[in-house]
Amino acid sequence: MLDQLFRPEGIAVVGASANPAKAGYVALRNMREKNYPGKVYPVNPKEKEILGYPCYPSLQAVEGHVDMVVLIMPSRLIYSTMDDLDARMEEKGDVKVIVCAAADYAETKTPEGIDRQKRLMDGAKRYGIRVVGPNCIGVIDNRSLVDTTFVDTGVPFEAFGEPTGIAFLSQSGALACSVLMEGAARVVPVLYNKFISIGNMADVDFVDLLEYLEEDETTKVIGLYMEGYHDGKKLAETFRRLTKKKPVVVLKVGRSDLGSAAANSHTGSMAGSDRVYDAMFRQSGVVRVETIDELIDTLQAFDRLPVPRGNNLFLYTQAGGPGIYCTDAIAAWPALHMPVVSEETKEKLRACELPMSNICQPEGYADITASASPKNHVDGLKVVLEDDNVDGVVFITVVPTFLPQKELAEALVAVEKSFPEGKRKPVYYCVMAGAYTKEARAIMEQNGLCTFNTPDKAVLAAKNLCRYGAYLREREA
Amino acid sequence: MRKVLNELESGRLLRRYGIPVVRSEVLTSGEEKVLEEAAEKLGFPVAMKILSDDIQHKTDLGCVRLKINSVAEMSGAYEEILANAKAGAPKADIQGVLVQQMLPDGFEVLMGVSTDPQFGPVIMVGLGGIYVELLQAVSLRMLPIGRRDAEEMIEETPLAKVYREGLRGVHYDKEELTSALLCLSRLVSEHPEIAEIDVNPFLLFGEGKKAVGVDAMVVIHE
Repeated sequence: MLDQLFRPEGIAVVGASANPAKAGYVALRNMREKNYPGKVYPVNPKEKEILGYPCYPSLQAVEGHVDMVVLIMPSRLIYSTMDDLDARMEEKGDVKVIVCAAADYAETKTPEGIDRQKRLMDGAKRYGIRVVGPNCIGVIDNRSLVDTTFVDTGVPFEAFGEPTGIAFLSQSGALACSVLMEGAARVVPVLYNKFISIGNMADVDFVDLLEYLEEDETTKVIGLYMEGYHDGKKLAETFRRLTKKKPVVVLKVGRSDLGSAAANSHTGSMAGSDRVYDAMFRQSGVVRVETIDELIDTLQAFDRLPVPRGNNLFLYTQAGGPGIYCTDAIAAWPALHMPVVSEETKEKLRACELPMSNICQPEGYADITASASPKNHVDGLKVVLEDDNVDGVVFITVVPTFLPQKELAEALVAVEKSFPEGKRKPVYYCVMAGAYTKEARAIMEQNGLCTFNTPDKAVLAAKNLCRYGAYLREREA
Repeated sequence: MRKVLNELESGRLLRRYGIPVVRSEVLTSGEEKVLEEAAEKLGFPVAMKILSDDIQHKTDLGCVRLKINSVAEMSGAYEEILANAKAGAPKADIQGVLVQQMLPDGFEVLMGVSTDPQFGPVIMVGLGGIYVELLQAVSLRMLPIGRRDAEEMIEETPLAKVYREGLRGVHYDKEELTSALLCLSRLVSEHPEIAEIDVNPFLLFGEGKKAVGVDAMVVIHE
């Protein structure tokens, strides 16, 4: 049934607007910009057409097949809208899913809000229609090019790369926006595979969507923003099954007593004890992250990199200070270990690096110095990756002004491509120096490498991949 | 409805599932012969306290006596505890006086089970003793747990360091606590009516001397 949520043939938008400042306009514009191949039917009695889509006075008046209805009109109009939908269903019976983006329903806990949600749900249940929301920003599928959201990322659609394998579910519309927009603002904008803001979960909820994404072949990793879920045991069971197949990364709020109180008044969810959630995540192999940055970094790393086979992380740096800074970051995580590489590896490293380089003091660490050429960079990296005791590498370069960054980036891409798929190990590239290194990072990112601007972010992603890898190995054992 | 099992019942239940809990005897008479018998079984020093479901703050009412080293002292303590209980809580139903082994100082660990409204029974382990609330150095898991979960729990608390490096020259055996956690898990699986278990402290002695739980309490749903 949820197929129609991601692959509808015809979408009617109630509350469509010709005013570019309104949500009911942006949603249409997104679909227009992405060139959504299905039919779009704006419902607006006052307009003839919006963005080239002919308008209809009511849902009932739409002649074509409608399997999805998006509700963006003010919530007080829900009664007349649902009457209109009833009439359509009695006649055509074609609608399978409603995305109710509008807010001011049961989450307000007012009798009026609760009654509006009741009218919505009563109508939907009568015809077996699934409902996403209310109080959400809707759904995106960047493969079928559905986009019911009214979010303007500020980045033109053609600037994004290929759709990733990242699916994201959010209990908060605004936080979902921020994940969408932060992703869009990256060196290479992140195009999420599927993106669902679920709001009040009046019907479709976390477990329904997790079950769908579990079977969805284009989804490689699932991200969630959550405040709480009423059925803890069911959620735990779903996670346990799901994480065997694909990684799940969660940003869960309500850690503090105050934060938990805010969550309770927010989406009207049961926040539960955060400590117990934390325990459940650990037991279910769910990776819990603390910040929006860590969330996007970790999702991208899971999407692009193989899961490491062990916890041995080699630190390969071109600069002393950042290297020491990064060592501290690695040492802070018991899940990570800087390995002892073979004598042969050490000798090969000495042979391909400059004489003043620091090779393996301490173990699992090499500083190839700021004078290192692109060739020094890549030859040494290859040697490290070939050592059996290395499961992953954090690579740090500050890219001094005398180092040709395009040449370096292309050489690193070539190293990555020299390893066959089964032999690849995760490399977390920390390309420091802010805006100056955007060119290098863009080349690397476009070729599927994972880059970060500071060592601590690279280490967090490495830690998260390692923990998931360890969880999988333990469950297999 | 919740029912709190008394120390004696709680101890028996935990011991039956392999969790060592300090031994105790119930006295309903202060006769010398009875006191001697109890002393024989437990060995000195002993602690004595009132056994009553109606009295929660035993120390405050003067219903606890520690470091008792002779039958004569036991006899005095018996009379005194009963008198204090009658004076402080005249309506309380008194089941007797509990005599318990007194243990030397050990490293205090906390173990427990509670019921989360969303996730069901949850097990906890961490630093015990007087700083429990202050440090909150505990780790939790949903029940049931496996060996790997128990090990991870210990690993997530400062106990990991104590087991790895010892403390002030004393070395402790991690297996003791791991297996106690697994026993708790099995106990709750077989008795879903259990709402809460509190073993604080679970005393570790290290160097081969067996750990033991003091002040064990079990609460059941009725």
